[in-house]
Amino acid sequence: MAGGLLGSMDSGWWPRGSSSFAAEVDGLFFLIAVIVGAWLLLCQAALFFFLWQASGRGGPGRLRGLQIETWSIVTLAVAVLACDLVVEAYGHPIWKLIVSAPRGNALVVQVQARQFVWEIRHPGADGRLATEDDIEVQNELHVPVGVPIELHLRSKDVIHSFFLPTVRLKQDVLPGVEIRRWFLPTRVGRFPLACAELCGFAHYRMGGALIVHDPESYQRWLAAGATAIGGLEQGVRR
Amino acid sequence: MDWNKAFAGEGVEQEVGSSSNTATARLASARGRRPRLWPAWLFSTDHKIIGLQYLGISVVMALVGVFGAYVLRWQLAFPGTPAPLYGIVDPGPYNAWLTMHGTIMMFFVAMPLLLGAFGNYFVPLMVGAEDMAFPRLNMISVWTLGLACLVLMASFLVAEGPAAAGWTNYVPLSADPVYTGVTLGADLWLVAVFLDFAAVLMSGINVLTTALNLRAPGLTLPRVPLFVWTQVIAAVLFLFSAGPLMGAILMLLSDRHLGSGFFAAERGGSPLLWQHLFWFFGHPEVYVILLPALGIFLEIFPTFARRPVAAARVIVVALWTSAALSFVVWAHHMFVSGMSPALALPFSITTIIISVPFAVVVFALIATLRGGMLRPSTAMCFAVGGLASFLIGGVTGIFLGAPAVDMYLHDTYFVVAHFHYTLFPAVVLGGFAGLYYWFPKVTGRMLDERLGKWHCWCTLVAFQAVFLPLFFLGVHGHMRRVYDPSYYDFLRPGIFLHQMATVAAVVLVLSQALVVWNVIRSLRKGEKAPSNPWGGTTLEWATTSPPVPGNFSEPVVVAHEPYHYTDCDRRREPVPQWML
Ligand SMILES: [Cu+2]
Ligand SMILES: [Cu+2]
Ligand SMILES: [Cu+2]
Repeated sequence: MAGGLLGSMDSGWWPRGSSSFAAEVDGLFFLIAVIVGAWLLLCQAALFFFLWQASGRGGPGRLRGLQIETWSIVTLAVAVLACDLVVEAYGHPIWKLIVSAPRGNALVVQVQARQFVWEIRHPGADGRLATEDDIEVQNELHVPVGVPIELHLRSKDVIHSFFLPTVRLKQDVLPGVEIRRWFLPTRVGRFPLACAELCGFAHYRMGGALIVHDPESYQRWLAAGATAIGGLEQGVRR
Repeated sequence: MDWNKAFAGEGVEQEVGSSSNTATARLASARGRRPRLWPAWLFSTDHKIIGLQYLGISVVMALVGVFGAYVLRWQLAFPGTPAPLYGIVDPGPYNAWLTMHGTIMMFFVAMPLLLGAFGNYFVPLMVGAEDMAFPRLNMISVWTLGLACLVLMASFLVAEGPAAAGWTNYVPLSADPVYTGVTLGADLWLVAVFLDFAAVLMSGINVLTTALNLRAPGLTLPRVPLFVWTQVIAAVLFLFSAGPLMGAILMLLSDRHLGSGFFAAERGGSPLLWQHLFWFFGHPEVYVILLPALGIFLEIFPTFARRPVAAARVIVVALWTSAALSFVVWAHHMFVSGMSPALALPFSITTIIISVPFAVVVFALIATLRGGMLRPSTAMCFAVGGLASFLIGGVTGIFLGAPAVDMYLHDTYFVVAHFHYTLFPAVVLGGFAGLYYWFPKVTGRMLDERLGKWHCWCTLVAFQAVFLPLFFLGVHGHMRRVYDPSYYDFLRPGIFLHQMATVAAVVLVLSQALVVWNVIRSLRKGEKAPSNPWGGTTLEWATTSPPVPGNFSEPVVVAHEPYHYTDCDRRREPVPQWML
């Protein structure tokens, strides 16, 4: 039943990734889940086994082997350390991949946050920002599938956090600094965009959408955007 | 020896103390002669009375904090509908409540309860001292805390309401009223937290000095009970970590009113500086709360399993190690904050490695049951349940210590579930474990064990039902501090989990009636408690229940380490520390 309930969530309890590094992040998550899950089970089992044993009737259990106990605890702690290092060794390259500069020619999109809007400036048909044909849309990030996107993130007022759950990307946006992050969209569709940092009373309404186009629909969007200055669609929430 | 001289409610206490040795008798006579004794109680410098004052403050503040949790949970489960006893929750007040819930629970419930109440009452008793090292400072400390509470509560009465920038009070949101619409409330928050820290600092100095200088003859450091060690380490942690945040609070007040720009980007400052200072304090703060709770478990486990704590000396080393490491992990709260991503590697390594000392403590607690002779009790029920729950909180921290996964889970309900799984077992389950364990000592009355077991099981089950669903919401990408999750299409299917959590939270709160009733019933007509009802081995059990003024009617001498048991005649008997 629990499975059915969880399955009823729009994309399952674990939202399917839509970027090139989502699979790596998910892999790291499941690696950690397996490791800590095993430790958790081991500890709970030992806890309740000893509890059951200690509540047994009869005379006192043996109180010997206290020295061995200490050594077992230390040995197990060293095993925990080994698991920690596995997680670190597996996870660090993924982090480096996410926060590195994008590979190849990335399409630069500028994201400016303010209470409580994402102002997103897309390059027009020329593929370059800060030119005549830039397309500015509120709360919608339009990108072509399969092209690396570089985001230039900044804030006009407080700290916001640019969050694309299916991309597995989250980056706080600060006043006074420009932060760059990249991703490579791998699936066409409409995905959630949200603000993840408390930024005021309407923090909960600072949502939008990531719209990943196939090449044709992207061209159509560019063409429409070029004629209707300021973006063809009104910023739609979510 | 005239113990009453050391006991400071002076004249009044002496008079009562000579007629009866029990605190209940004192309280009973206090009831009869309130006009004279009430101020004496209020101005007492006795560590036991101050401990109870701390307890009173934390319980009152917990009522406010829990009410806040209820308001938040109602809005999350049934967005936009009026909450019974409150009404419609608007987005502004929602943010104020989430700020106050966190602030109150961390600074005005957890610390006053675990350090103020348990620390004050039991550290002097367990080291065999007649009072704290600085009784007057102790009184000033609890008074300062009371003042801090008044300042914080006053913010509910001012025009735009209390602070609404989260308990972490990130700038610039908290720095300029234009962003939250809160003016005076935000200043009151800063002042209240500053005063609260000053109070805890004074109390920490007292605990530290008492444990180091006032130990009974024979109580060498290796013989000090583990609970006292956790209190000492917590005091050291707080002494080293509070300063930076108290400084940051003054800097922020200066930014707000004197035009400085420590945290203002447009005036050459850095918003990230606040986060660094806050979390440099914030992570040790978690251990300031967690360690005393582990200390309570570490007292209860050997007493009711009737065997020595496994690897007790290794535990002390592990606790100090975790304390030292806690000063070099703070930036794990900031992996996606915009600080240099290169810093993620060192902070992630220290963070993940801090699991090792805690693993030692957890393994040792588990091993302490091996070969034990369990005496089932409510205190043990809460201690085992607390450890089992804390394990879930502990292991889920590993996900957040890995930056690549943290990038997805940061600021989601996964974090909320994770830290509630560490703090609830510490503060609430640890607090109740301590209450059921030490209630006979404090009041001279036994609590009802049957009611206690019901209370324990209801609390444990309801707690899991509140916070397990939040892990699933977090993994689904549900951001925290979201006023209305139904605003997002992708969050709407998860609202049934919010509803589950809210219903369970109401059950959790209602089941606390069991402990309230148990305490009232026992105070009135509970069975009289002997001086050592559980067969404990540490010094607080050497004296009467409740302890006489001055704690011990004759000087105690410590003969050996705590948690000592012998098998004789197929029975296992405790060998208390004071037994020669
Ligand atoms: Cu925002
Ligand atoms: Cu926000
Ligand atoms: Cu931390």
